[in-house]
Amino acid sequence: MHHPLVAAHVYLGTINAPDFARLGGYCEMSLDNSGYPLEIGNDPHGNQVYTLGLGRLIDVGSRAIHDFVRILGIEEGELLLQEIRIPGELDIWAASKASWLPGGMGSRINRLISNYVLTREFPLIQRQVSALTRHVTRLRKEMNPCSMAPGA
Amino acid sequence: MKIIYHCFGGSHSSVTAAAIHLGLLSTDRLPTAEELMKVPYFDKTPGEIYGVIRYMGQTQDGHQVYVLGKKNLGRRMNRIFIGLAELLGMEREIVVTNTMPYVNILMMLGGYLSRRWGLTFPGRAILIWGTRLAFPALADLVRQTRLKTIPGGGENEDYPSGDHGGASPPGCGPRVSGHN
Repeated sequence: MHHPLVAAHVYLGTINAPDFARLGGYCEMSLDNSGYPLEIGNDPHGNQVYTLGLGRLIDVGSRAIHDFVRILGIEEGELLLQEIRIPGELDIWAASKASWLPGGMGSRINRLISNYVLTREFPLIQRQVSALTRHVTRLRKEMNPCSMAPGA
Repeated sequence: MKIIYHCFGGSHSSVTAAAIHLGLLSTDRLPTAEELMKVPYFDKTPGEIYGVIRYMGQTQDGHQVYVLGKKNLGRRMNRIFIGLAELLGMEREIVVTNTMPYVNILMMLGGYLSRRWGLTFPGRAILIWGTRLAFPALADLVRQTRLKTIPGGGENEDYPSGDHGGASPPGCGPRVSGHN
């Protein structure tokens, strides 16, 4: 749970600077490996925000998820899937593999490298979140044109 | 109901299981090489098809059967699908089955030679030998999967009842999920 978690909190307005230590689930490999979506919170419009870890095979997993949602007949207005990609994500993945090292060393390595990469790429994450926010706003307008009209 | 069999390449064990489920392969005897090669997608899947869920057919009960090659996503794939289905309140409409535990070394070797190296001559012979060895176990897996399509017949693998940290009741409006 690394950059999607950060992106989710940026989207929700929980953080606006690289301050990751207080994010619940940050660098928690058990959550990352579980495969279950992790609920982060609700945005001001009542949309529920989740994160999901796919490990190294992001393209394969992403394609499978999109296909899965398609065969279930779910439209974008019900479930919006957003990939969060950053340079250095493989470094983060590699660092996460060190988490098995004993004495807390693995966890420290994981956090050290994750903090470095995510701090460096924080502006990119913010840009991706901004694009996502605009997309969500567009979807809301399409789904509720009357409520979005001026003066309504 | 949607039934998804998944394995590494989506070309051998998952396809065989799906074929058994659809009745394309009889379970009262081992299939011949010709019968296996007639199964759609069996040892015919190109590498770039990873992650694509392909439709295999529909059962007499109206359940739709799919296959998927997920590379090394492993058991996580089951949990991802089940978790998403739970978010959408559709967890009773899908059954996902990982066929990887039933893949033997011959299937791995034969599949690798055939798909990765294009050596279909020794590859397919080894693959078919391995698939015939694994066939009874795959047939049993399909029997278990069929039970899950019956109401009260069982739950998806990796779908323990109760809280597992992810799902919440459906909300109003789009749900947004960021994933890496």
